[in-house]
Amino acid sequence: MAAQVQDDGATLSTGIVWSDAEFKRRLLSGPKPALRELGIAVPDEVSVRLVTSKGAPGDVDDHSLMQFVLERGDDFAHFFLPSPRSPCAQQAVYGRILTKRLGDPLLDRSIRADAEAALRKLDGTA
Amino acid sequence: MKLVRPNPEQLNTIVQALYAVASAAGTVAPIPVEIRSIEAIQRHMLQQDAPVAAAGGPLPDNLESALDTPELRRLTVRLLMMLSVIDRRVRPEKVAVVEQAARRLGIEDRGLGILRRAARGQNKRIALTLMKTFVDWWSPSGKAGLRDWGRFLWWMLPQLHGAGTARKNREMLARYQGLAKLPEGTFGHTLYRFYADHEIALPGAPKSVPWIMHEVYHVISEYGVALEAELLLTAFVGGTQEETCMDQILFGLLSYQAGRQIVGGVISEGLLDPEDYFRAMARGARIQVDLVHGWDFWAVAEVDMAELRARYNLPPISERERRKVGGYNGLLTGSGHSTPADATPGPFAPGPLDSGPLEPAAA
Repeated sequence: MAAQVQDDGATLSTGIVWSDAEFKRRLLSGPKPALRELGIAVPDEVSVRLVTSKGAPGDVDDHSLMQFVLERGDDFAHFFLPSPRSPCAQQAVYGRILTKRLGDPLLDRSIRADAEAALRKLDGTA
Repeated sequence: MKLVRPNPEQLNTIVQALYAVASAAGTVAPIPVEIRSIEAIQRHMLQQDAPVAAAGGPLPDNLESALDTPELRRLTVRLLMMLSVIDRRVRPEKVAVVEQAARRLGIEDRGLGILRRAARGQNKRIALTLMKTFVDWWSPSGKAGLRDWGRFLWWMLPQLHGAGTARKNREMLARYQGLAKLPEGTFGHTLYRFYADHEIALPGAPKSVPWIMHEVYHVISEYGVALEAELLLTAFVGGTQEETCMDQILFGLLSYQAGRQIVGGVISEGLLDPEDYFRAMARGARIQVDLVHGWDFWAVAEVDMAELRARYNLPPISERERRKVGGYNGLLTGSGHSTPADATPGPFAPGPLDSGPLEPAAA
């Protein structure tokens, strides 16, 4: 399944990372274009590095915690993308479990809020 | 770890040595997080009200003469080790300055071995070192023998467990489940709630481990399970220990600041807040109980948490920490803790799963 902007113009939910193996593969191999498909537009001059780990040995998802490290010169900022199926990864990011439901908009909004905050920090407007 | 209060000459020497590491002997410019770390080290670890500054350059000429006590020398080398990984990399040229300082001061510390391996990218070797420290601690003799390694591996391979282990596990589980019946605010009840709130299997339950010290440290320190708080916890635990302090501290910095996968579990990069981090370490250093050797959880399970923390001389969570660390849900809250459960300091209001919209916390 090709991940694209949806018919109504809205960007894809970040939940697609955990439901679409092809999208996840693209995110892991080249984060910036895939993030753009999620509506997280990282400026060209900002590089993106991905730090991945697995919250718990029993997690369904490999890379159940993704950290996107945004770098511009010596400045950096970051945001996380935890799996809704990993209580451990969510607790690592939020200090508690937000959801256990795939596609929960609460988690999607949280990830987007953190991504926007990271981009603002890098812009010096946070 | 022992806190010291150096005299002005000693302070200047230590700070110059810290800048020597941050600048790799004057070859690179220290970055902001390193400079803030040097200031926070002075405030919390060296007990200075007014931190001094220095410039990048080589180690000071008076390193040996100014640092004239073993305590001061050891603490200095340990602080230099910490600083060498704070830039999110583990640059061999910074580690070389640390090693040079350690040689000049005649200090050998187990942390230096970990740091050398980190500089070479030998993460698995580091994991083995940390595992050995753990099995040493777990051993009744305090030194890991073949029998202790056997016990450890046995617990790591539950598929080998038979009926006898299953019976022992049921008994162990029942004992820990009994903590739920203790009054709210007691150590035992607070520990039980920590396990339940974070969906961690109690000892004896399937997919559990039979040791509780990591969770005990969480409950005593009040630092939660967010990654930033886990980093603070490693500082706190390191502060409480002496011989093995750098195991904890370097593990935390490598895992959560440098993004190194040393053992399984979550990792991250660049989470260090120097002020919070070194305050947590100093809190741990002020504790007046040895939680590593001969300490028995069951002997204090019924003690009230506030009383226990006072008995152990643990400094309270500061208001700054409550705002800052509580702001990302990095503090444990509710009964047994100094932050009320309804304080809702963070951006995510506590509540049942999937409940309510995501609203920023009020300023």
